[in-house]
Amino acid sequence: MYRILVLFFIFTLSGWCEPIHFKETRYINALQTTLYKEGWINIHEDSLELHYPKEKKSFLFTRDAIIEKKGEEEKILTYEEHLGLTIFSKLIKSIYTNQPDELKEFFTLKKEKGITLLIPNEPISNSVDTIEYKKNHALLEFLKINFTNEDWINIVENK
Amino acid sequence: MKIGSISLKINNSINLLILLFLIVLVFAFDSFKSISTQLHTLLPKSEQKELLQEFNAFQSTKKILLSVKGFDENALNTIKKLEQTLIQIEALSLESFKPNSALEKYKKEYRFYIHDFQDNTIETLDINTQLESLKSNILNADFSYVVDQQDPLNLLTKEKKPDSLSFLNGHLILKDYGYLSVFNLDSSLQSLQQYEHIYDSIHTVISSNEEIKVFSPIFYFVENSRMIKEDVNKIIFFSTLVLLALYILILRNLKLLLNTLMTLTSSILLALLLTSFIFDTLSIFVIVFGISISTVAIDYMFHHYVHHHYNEKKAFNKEVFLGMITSLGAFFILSFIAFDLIKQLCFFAIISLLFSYIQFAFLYPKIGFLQKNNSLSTLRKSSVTIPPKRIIVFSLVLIALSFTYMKFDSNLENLDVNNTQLKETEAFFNRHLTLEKNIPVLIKASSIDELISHARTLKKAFPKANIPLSILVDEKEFPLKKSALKNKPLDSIKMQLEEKASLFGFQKNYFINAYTYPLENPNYSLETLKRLNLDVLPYKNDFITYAYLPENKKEAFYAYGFLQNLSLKDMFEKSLVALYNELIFYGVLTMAFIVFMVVFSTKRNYLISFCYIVFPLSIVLSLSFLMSFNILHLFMMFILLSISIDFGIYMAAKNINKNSYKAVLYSLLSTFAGFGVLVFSHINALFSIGIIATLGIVAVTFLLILLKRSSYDAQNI
Repeated sequence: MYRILVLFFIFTLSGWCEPIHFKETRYINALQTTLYKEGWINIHEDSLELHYPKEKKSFLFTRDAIIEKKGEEEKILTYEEHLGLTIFSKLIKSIYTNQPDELKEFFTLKKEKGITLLIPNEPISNSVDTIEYKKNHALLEFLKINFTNEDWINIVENK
Repeated sequence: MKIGSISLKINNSINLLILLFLIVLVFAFDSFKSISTQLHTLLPKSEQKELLQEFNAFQSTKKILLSVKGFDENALNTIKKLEQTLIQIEALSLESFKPNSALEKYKKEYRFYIHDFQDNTIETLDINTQLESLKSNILNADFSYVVDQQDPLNLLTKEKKPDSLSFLNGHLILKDYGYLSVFNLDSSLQSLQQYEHIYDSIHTVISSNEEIKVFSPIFYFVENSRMIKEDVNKIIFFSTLVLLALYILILRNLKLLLNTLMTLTSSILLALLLTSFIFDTLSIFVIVFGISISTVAIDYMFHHYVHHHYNEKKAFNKEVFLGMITSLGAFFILSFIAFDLIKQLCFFAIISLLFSYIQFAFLYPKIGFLQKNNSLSTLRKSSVTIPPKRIIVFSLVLIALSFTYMKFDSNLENLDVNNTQLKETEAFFNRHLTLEKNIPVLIKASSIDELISHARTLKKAFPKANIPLSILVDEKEFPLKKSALKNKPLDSIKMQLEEKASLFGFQKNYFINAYTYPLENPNYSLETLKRLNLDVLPYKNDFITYAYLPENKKEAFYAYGFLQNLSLKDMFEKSLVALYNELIFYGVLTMAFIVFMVVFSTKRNYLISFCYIVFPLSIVLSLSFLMSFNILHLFMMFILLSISIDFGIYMAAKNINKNSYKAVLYSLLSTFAGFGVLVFSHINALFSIGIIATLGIVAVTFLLILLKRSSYDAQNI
């Protein structure tokens, strides 16, 4: 009951924030396929929401856990066991709150021609090769995650 | 006249000159450096003892755990700040938990040799279903799906990751508590001084409180050693007070007091100096014990003093000489036992007693001390006295009864300090890291391959055990595994997989590396193992590594001949069993020597002398009704025996008089100052010595009051 109330408030409050809409392109090297998704993000002080409306899928990143919703089904995931999602939420939050230093514990940061390059430390470097992003004022021009298996994800914020 | 005055001055200062000379020698040879507070120094020289020291050289034994309570930002910042400060301490580095890339590469390369195939997976394999499921996983992944290109069909068993380590916000955590950091200590750190430096450096940064917990096995070395030293200092202080009281109230001769203190100090320094030449390390217990034994030598001074040897020209005191020679003889015989602790004690006692005797018997009459009367009268004999025969019969019955109750506690760890606070902190970390109660063992083999083979044998028998080396494939197992792999239809599976994969949309050659394995035997050297971060050390002509095995399966794993037991208790028991015949032989020889010396010295009065030997012994042995005996109880009984012999010889002497009683009474008080005060110690080892001494003193006092002795009692003083 308590969890439902918390979720209710968070989702209701999110209505007062301005959601960030984006397009996601994902290349899968094994299948040589590219997938396209659309979604929106809402950033709160203590949490972050990620929604893929067409897929009827959402993630709520709270302080203690990740709550995944797929249709009517709801799952609580731990940060420890879902390193990919953990990194993704940290990335989004630090980029939008302009706090790249938050990423220093996971990455070595470099900046070249307005593009920020993140070189992952262990153990992330086992799966992520590099991450690069460019922000134009508040707008995220792109965020590209290159994986070691030659997959990549590119996220572009809608203007 | 002038020559006489110069000679008197030399005699007066010779004691001081000897003391100063010995102080210089002790500091010049740094004799104190050889004193060790470590329990293993009590063990006799053996391969296991050497291996125990080798084990301490392994990196795995030198970790420091730090935890800050809570999972909030404050806790994270606190632990990060502490990490930054602590890594500034020399020889301390932060454990990164980064997988060793060389080891990861090895595990990947020899994966088909390391892991077994899952039961029936090949027989029931449906490649289409597996590929469909794999494709679905890839397409529906939230981030990126990592395909196991070596074993995409999940035929092999998976490597189980330790579930005790968890991460939050990129930092290691202790489940249900807070953030955790693990530090490594440089493996070159070996000495107590180095441990103390690390300990103090850490504790100046971290003041231990409820929110911050810090633990390392090396803290036991530092804290226990300090606790022992603190206790010993207190006891030495108390002992000095008792001795001072004895001199000030009874002897009231400052010159004699100062000279006696100088003699005793010199005897201790000489004994320390010479024993440190013979032995590399001296147990702190030997030093404490030795200092206590050295105070027994005061008896020699008392007897000479009360019988006016220092203020009148008197003949050689035969009784004191015979008492001394009997004690020395007993220690000399016992020193043949091949047990370092006994040897060290015996050498220390022989040197200090002999040195003190020479000074008290030959130097002091030359220095000359005036005898002063004191207000304390000697013990009054009771109107009721007991004949020696009755005391001897009673004592023998009590000894026989005591033996039926006697239990021996061979666990050396019970002698150590009970450091409850540190034990609690250790238990806290073990609980939160969900570590099973494992005990360390060493695996020994004549070659690296044999060592790996032993490690793997153990891992199969005890799958939950922590045996780092068992990850490797050994020389013998490799061809067997290779032929087993050849007998599996892996080539056909791979061919079908590649064919069908393209139908499911996988790119060409995506599974080209699937189900391939190396055909060459891996070669191991100490260098390659070091690169793999696996601890193997050469030991003489062999190689050793460590393992942590479940304590509750102790009986089962010690059945493996290649395992070396590192338990102090087991080692001590084993060495005692090995020494059993020797202990019995030299024990009987010592007793025979004592009996001979007593009969030789006291002739017709030998029954009185025997009373002073058997009665204190029976009282002390009756402790077995209340507690188990440990090794120090037994050693102290030998010491008590030698003191009793002195008293027996003095009290059975023909020319016994009031002064003899006085001397024995003073001796008892000084013995209490030397040994008896240890009864106030919190350390079981020292308490064991103290309780025996105190009971012995009580028994001798009882004899002084109640033992019937025809010639002297008739005088009724």
